[in-house]
Amino acid sequence: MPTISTAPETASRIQQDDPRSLLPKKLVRARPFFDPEIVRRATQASLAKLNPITLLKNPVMFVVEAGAALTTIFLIRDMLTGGSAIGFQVQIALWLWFTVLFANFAEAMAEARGKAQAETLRKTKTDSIAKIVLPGGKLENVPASKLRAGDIVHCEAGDTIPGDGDVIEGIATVDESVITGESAPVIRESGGDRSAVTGGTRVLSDCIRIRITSNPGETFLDRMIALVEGAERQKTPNEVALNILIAGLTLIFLLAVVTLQPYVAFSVTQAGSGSVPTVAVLVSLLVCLIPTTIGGLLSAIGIAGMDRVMQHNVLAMSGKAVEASGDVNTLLLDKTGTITLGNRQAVEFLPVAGVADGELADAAQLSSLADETPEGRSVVVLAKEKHGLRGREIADHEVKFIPFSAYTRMSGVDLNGRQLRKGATEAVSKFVGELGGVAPPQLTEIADRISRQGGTPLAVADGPRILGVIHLKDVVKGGMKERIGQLRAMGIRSVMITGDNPLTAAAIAAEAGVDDFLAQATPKDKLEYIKREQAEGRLVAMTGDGTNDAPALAQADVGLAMNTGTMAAKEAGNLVDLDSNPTKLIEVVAIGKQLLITRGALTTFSIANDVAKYFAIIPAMFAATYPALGVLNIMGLHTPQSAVLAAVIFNALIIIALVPLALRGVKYRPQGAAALLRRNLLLWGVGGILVPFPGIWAIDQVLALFHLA
Amino acid sequence: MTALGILQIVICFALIFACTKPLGAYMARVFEGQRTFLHPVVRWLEVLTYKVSGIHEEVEQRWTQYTASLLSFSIFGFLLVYFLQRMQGFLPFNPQHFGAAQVSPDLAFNTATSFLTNTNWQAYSGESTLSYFVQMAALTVQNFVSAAAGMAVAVAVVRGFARHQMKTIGNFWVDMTRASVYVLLPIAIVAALFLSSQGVIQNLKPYTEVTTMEGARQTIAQGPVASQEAIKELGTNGGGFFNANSAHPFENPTPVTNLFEMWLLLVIPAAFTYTFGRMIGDARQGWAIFAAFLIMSLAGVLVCYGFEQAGNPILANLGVQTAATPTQAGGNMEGKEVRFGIANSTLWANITTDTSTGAVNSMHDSFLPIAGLVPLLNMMTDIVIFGGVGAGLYGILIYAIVAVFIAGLMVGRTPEYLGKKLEQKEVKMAMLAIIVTSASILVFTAISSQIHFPKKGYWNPPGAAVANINNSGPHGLSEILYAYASSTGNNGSAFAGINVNTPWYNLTLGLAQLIGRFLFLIPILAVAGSLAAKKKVPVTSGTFPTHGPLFVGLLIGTVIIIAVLTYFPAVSLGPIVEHYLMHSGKLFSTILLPHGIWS
Amino acid sequence: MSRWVASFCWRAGPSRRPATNFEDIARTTEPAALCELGEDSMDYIITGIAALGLFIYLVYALLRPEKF
Repeated sequence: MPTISTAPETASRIQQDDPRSLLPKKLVRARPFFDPEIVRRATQASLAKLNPITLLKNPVMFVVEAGAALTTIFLIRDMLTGGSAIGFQVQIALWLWFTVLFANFAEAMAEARGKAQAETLRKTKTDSIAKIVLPGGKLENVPASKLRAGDIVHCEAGDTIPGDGDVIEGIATVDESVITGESAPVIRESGGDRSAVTGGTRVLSDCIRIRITSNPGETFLDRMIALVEGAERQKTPNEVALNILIAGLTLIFLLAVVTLQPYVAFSVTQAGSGSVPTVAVLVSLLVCLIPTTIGGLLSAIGIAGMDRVMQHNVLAMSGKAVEASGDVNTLLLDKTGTITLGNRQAVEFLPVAGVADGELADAAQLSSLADETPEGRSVVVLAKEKHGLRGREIADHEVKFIPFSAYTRMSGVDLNGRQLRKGATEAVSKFVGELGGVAPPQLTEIADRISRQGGTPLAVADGPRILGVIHLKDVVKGGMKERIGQLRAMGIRSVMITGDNPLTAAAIAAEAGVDDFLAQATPKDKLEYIKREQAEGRLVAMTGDGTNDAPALAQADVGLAMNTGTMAAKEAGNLVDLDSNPTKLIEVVAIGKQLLITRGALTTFSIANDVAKYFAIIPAMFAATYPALGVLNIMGLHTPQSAVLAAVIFNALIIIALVPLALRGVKYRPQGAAALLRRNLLLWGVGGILVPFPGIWAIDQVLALFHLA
Repeated sequence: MTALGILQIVICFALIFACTKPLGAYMARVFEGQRTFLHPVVRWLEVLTYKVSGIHEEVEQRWTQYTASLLSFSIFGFLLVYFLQRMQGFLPFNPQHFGAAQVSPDLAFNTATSFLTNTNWQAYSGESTLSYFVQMAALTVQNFVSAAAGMAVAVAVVRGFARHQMKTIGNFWVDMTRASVYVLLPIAIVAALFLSSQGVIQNLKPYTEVTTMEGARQTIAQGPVASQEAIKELGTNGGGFFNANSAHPFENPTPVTNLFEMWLLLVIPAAFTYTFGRMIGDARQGWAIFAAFLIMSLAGVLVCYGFEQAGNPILANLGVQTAATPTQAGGNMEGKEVRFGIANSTLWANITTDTSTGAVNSMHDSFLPIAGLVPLLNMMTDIVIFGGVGAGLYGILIYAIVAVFIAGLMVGRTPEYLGKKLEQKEVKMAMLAIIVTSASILVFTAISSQIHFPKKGYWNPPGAAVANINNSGPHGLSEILYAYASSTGNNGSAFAGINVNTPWYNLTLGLAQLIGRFLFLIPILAVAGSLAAKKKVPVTSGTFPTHGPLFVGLLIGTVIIIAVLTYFPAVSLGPIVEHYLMHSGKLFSTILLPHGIWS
Repeated sequence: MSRWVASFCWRAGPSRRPATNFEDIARTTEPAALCELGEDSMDYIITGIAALGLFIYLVYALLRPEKF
């Protein structure tokens, strides 16, 4: 079963299926996990993060730091006054500080990766000179940073576009590789859905006039840098809720450990032997019990989740959008470009009665020779394959090409007095009628049949004679059906949106295996559909690129805007795909789920770990008071000191050991919730109970070997 | 363990299982205001209650109003019980002429909070402290209404899950009236009649003076016992008419009444799981909770019974026969009634601490360490194994929220339970409820294990708070821990072995009862209000399934892990160490040896 | 209050012979290493105050998580 892996490699494989995004160059290259430069910076940052004021934001780690500080103060006092067990206390204090440092390191690693990416972006943001168009039409050079929204600038070949804006005049090829990593230039022209330009990109040919739409510091590039850096990062709702749980558990354990002191004092009096554990030991117990693993890694998981989305060349405007994508119930997929290849292809010639196959094919090919659309080319190719008809060179003076127009809804050629036309059935029938011919009833019959199969009928006429119909078919992308099936297994309904008539839509929907479709959809229909789904409690995700998609993009819980789209669409969506590949939505959903699973897994693991730590610390703590409790020392740890130390060391090391996992996310296979839960509970719950036993035992062995405790 | 013992345990749970669906379905109809077969008989009483008290049956309340109604009702109940006790000398049905001297202000406070909160912790002996009038008008009435209030809250919480995009969660007064009129009263009346037919006494006579066969004079206490006994069990109250509680032959004369009383105290908490499933429109969800209850309860019973039947190894080492034979029970019979035996005593001990009843038919203090640890742990779970009437259901739902919140993320969606997204407010309130109860148990025990008072002073005449305990060594810590766990959990069973009728204990235990009831219940009502206002998320194959064995396992795991992680250090210094010391041949006397245990 | 504090001022008794697998170790290592409570019960009072501060801080973190 193919899996939706969120690894970047898979993303590029999928992109290759899609002709619109060949050469998937990454804006953000997957770096090696422990890139030395990043590690160096993260190490520095983790020391800076020891500042208690900064740490106040992370309750669990603040408690650990307070414990470490307290232990250190008592240690220094004991060193000065010549107290006992200095070696043990030194080690405990050191490892408590390491615990905080490791958690800081995890967060710093995640941030450093983002910062490195931001720097790459910032390098492209040199302050260029803009040619501002003055009211009189004269040009004046001003620094780009002085541009305000509403200014009009002039750019020609070689110029860097000084700010975000809309083309209001002209057409040009633009190199947008700065933003998208895509080296192929794109066309930007005034009007329509291709008018948006982004500051920092470069005009390659021609010249355009642009109306600037953003003020300095608020451009798309600025926002992108801020997002990548994590400067704008806010805690997502689920993260806040998880923080409540973690703070609550920390409170419970604080109570359990603090009240332990009087219990032991009571027991010591009763038993007449032993003594109350030192502050260092009580702090150790507390730090081992509170959920330091998840507390230390939680923010790193969130930052890394955003980072993973970025590695797919998708820009998330907030962490909330990524989190919400894991929750999506309904996915609205545009038919064209997402489900189908985006262009229809001729698959069959269907002549009406009395017309030979060859004649129809010949006429169809002739009428399409000048037709440069993919549909037109596919007709030429089909005629060649099926009937051995080669494309012919036709001398210019003999022919007149009739291009397609929205008014006539036909195209064709006038050739040696023949008027060859192909086009919509009604349009061609009307054309034939005007020339005195009559469309045979069979035509409607064939056309309907093709429509029912999800195809598009193109009638072909030679003057007043209808020859037959070309069957144009939408080709569903390879592997689409499997992916839709995976979405269904994940509990996500996929809905196909298309402008086609219901008959065509139903046929393609059946072929692609989607759960529902919305035919002859207008932007308003889309918006209504989303609102209806949301009213029933569902979360909706969609993609869009046009300005008329903007309301629906804004309404959807997850709106993935295409980078090729208009600025309005990009503003409305909460995710922007720099590759403009609508299939990405599926990857984004998988990343969202992976993010949530990683959080849940580490929380469960963190709590489950406590069981083993009790078995290490409790018998050690009470060894002097109630040696009988030594029975609980099932790991056979060497000494009470080594037992406590081993538990503390394990607790610290597990944080650093799980950093790669927190940054990468746990493995995710699209499957039903029940199966997923069973697997993860076994792995992280049961595993979390078992793993620390050998871990603590091994550390204890090492400690004993080096006579450290 | 004997085959006969196991059989008796199985019969008890089988009877409960048989009644869960019919009673649960009936209660669902009652609380949804639908017509039931009892409407012709008691509907007039319901209508009359509304008329007299000016309640509008159709008007619903928001969670804040619901909570305010509950609190005002509780405050009124508290004042009534307090003053009825203090003024019992001026009130009728008082053949023994008890007065204010028998009930000091602190004792009256403790008893009032105790019956108000459905705890029924008894720092007094009924037969030597309270008049028949106080027993009937104050305590028995509270037995009904505190149970009905618990049921009302549970129903409100269930509505929180069942409803969507609504601001209200029902009407407290209506829910409470219906719980009393349609559920508690009819069953209690039938049960009282049955109990009195089996030998439970019901009279208002003065105590009987008799001369025993040895020629000694003995006073035999009398009273309206059957009527209180029925609701004591049915409402999971547990406050015995007599000090000996259900070990007393006038309260629980035969094995048949014993089985019947166990059935009474489990039946409503069990049936509530089905009511829950029915009201949210998916019976499987209710059965999942029932399964979790049953498995946790059975596990406790088997561990407890196993250790008690195995007996004390020290006695066995002395050559005492501790195995069961046809002529003797074997095991540890200390503190148990011969007519009940080990199986029925340990089964009762578990059921009474699983539910918030606290009635006892044996001395829990005499249980072997691990057998005594089981009832203690049952209470440390915040009483969510069947639990009190209503209280058990809303308690387990809090744990379900925590379980789903932690593990639910692992299906790759933000957590949702029964179609409701669990967000900041739910998690906050669930954690608050759990924290407050553990804080109450841990902190009060810690203080009591250390605090000193002047000898013969007002607060605690014996001096230090630990001077009230009977046993030295770890068992002493268990006794204090048990008292606060029992009070906070609103259970009310006593480990005994500790003198708690002093101002210090009366006040702190009373406070623990109030905390355990209201600071647990208010967050839950807040959750109900928040859930009711939410949209319902449709169920898909990507939804965390909460009706299968996996969820049952997860729920049990969460309850056990939270209890164990919170209390393991404390219990390891109590029952656990005691167990290992016993196995190494060490016992504790009531007198401290000069060199402790090691001499 | 003085009695309350006094209860913390319990002085460690002589360590007795333990009876478990920690037995040998407990004999050879210094018992005071883990469990040390002499006159300096000030340690516990300071720790107790710190714990109280943390308790208040955590309650705040629980009730007002959006501030974190």
